[in-house]
Amino acid sequence: MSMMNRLGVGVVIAFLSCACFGQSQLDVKQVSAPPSDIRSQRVALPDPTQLGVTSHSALIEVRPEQLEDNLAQFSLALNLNDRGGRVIFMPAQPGAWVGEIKTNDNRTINSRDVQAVQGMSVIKEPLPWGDGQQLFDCIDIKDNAAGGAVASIDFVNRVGDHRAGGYILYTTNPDEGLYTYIQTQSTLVGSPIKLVSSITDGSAIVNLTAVVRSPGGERSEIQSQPGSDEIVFTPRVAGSYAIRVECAYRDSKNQLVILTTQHQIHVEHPAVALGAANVEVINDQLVFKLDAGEPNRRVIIAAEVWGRADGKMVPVCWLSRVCDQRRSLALDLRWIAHAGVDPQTLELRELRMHDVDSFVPLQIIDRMAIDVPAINLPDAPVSISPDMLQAQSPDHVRSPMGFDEHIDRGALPGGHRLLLVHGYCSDGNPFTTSHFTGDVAIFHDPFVSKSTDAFAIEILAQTSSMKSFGVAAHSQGAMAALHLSTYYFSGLDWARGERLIQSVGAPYQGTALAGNAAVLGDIFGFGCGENADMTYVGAANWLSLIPSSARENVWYSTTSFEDRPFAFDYCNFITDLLLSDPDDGVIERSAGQLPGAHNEGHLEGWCHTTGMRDPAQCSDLNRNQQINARARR
Amino acid sequence: MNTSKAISVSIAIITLLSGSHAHADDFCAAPSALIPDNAIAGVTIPIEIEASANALIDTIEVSIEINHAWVGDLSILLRSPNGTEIALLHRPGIPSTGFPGPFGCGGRDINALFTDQSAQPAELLCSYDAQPVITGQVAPNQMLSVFAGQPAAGTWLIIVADHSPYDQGTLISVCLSTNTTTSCSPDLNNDGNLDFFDVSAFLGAFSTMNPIADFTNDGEFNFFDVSAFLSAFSAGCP
Repeated sequence: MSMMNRLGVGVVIAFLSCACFGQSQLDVKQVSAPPSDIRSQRVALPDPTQLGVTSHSALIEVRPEQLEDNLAQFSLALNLNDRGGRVIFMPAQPGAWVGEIKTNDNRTINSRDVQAVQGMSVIKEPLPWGDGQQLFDCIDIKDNAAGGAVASIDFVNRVGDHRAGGYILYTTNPDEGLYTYIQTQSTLVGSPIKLVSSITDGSAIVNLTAVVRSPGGERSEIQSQPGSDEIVFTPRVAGSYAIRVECAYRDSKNQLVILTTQHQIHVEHPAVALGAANVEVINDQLVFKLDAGEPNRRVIIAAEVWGRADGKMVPVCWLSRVCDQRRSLALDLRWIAHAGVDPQTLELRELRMHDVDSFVPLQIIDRMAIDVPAINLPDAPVSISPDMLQAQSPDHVRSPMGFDEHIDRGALPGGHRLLLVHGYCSDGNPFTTSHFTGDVAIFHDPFVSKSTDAFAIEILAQTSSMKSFGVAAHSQGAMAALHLSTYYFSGLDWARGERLIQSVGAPYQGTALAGNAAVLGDIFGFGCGENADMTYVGAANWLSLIPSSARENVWYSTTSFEDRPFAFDYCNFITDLLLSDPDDGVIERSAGQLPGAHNEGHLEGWCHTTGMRDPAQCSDLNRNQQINARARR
Repeated sequence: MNTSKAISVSIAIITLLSGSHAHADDFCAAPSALIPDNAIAGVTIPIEIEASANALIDTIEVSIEINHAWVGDLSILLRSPNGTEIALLHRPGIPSTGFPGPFGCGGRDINALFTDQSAQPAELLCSYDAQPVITGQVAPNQMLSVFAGQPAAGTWLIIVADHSPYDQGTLISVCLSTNTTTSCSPDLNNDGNLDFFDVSAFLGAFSTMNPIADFTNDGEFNFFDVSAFLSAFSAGCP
């Protein structure tokens, strides 16, 4: 997420789109991957138990009804356990509250104080996905101020409405954390969704509740069954649900600790089930027709192909493509020859249908038998050629957007360019344009939240006047570029040079902020809108559709705050409580990894965007010059 | 119009047909000429075919070598001395659906023989990695057989144009490979020589009213046929 980049980039080279290629249909690729991608599970549906959120903090909601008319006060006890802590006051209305922290030795700090009290200090910090205008009071309690401190928060009527609710986010830096994962893979309307929680050191859960906010804004509170570690709810409408899981447990000192995790879960309408495969031989392809008779719903179909060779079943290849009205996969006959299997023994495994925008698995079929007609196989290829990995699909797919709306603003059609692509909800190009030379163009789609697929198609539209281009991308822009190069024909396919897609700060494996922002978005808004593709689950589902051959086209970097000795370091004080170190204020280093791609390393001293403690990662001259020099165009 | 050195290579007389001679010849140019970027007029390379006036095209093929960074920019025309023009290639890959994209085939270089004998359309030969991307024997956009029966002699033109900006290239070389037929009606025994035996063959045919002796082509056998034969015999053959 670029998160409201405020860098004053003054140069906009050109708006890149062109009216010359009004497209209402998209030319999609039939994507294939070799058996090695199946064996390594690179293209397997992710294990949901590995996609949970770990939290060492608590986000406590303060609801107006908790406040009596004449007693605008709310108290919360913090057991600091000699580790210090952090408290962030997040009133719904700016300045509505004044927070106060008292320690056992009677030191007190008020969130309005500008002077630090021994061991405690106050800073003002914005949410990174907001407009940067609202600053929240954050109190940092140093280690030596701890010792059974109690925080009491007084609500002072400063805006004429002492009933203003909000949130308090705090951490007492416990050793253990709350881990919650979404067990349900196909999150569909009418089907129960289960979240499973545990304390990382195995401590017993004393109490487990969840607050679920539906897409329509309705709230429901769910209590787990006694002794259960599960929260279950059944969505009734499609869309994004924000869920705050609150868990109480007792630590090793038998003190009651509360931790919370925040989640965004995207729920889709069930799809019409895929039909049995009708197999035809068309040209040199075996086409599996899985028509389900559900027009105008774009999905991604993926499946493993297996067959028998030397008496045992072996993987032949993996297939995937974007479909709409006609749902089919095409298998190049050379894959069968390459695997040396008997065509009559072919079967589909792990057949999946994903929503193209949220990547929610709509249907998962473990195995599907297929009836293969008699075919003449070609000679086995010596090696896997590029045209075996991506081929033209037999069907077009309707574009969700019109390309004609893009206006050519003077760029001569046909160039070979380096495209600078911003991320989610950016106010513009985050890269320092002067660091780039040659034929450079700037992607421009500010202040929007798009699915990765829609983002990719927007890139396609804005590059329709280019013969070829490579990409330097920030944040979600890199995921969109990778998705584009994987599933659609574009100028990326013709780019020449060394590196096709170069990125920094991309949440290839998601970010915990997506869930937190969804919960806090109730009050503070969520940038340009919720985005399920950047949750851990959404990103993992998407990555399961990106084969190794596509990932090899990516060179990526991550950054984080400068880690100084004996100092509390962060890029953003608030998100530091929500992310696991090291992070760049939005993306954790671990979640910024793209297995199978080229890791260009991790650099400290740079944050995700402007307005954070260290400089914005896209303003790094050294990296930008390297990207410029090595880019394909 | 660019000029270039035309090289005529007479390969062989390969057959002798009734009253005609067949020749296979290559006429080549190696101009290494820059193809102007984004200029429809393109570069024109003349190739002079030196042949007798009654040498007629039987078949013609074109081999061409072009270095270019984006062959989808290119068109190649062949124009005969009498003005007949065909497109050998016109922006390969355009229009396309999906691959290779709206700007046509982005592959590099052409080194191919355009011949009606090929079933592989040059327009459809495209890949990301092959270089030259258009190579081997390929079928032209329009049939070369349109030139059959036309006089071979004269200045033929190869016109290579680039229709899109940003990528340039060079026409390295081009060859016209012709098979021509040269008619020689008094050589009635097809031995390539005009001599007594042809006179004898004519008289024999005339006496038996063989149609090959009907030199006036009027269905009758009379003095005028004898006169026409003797005139053609006196004129000789190339």
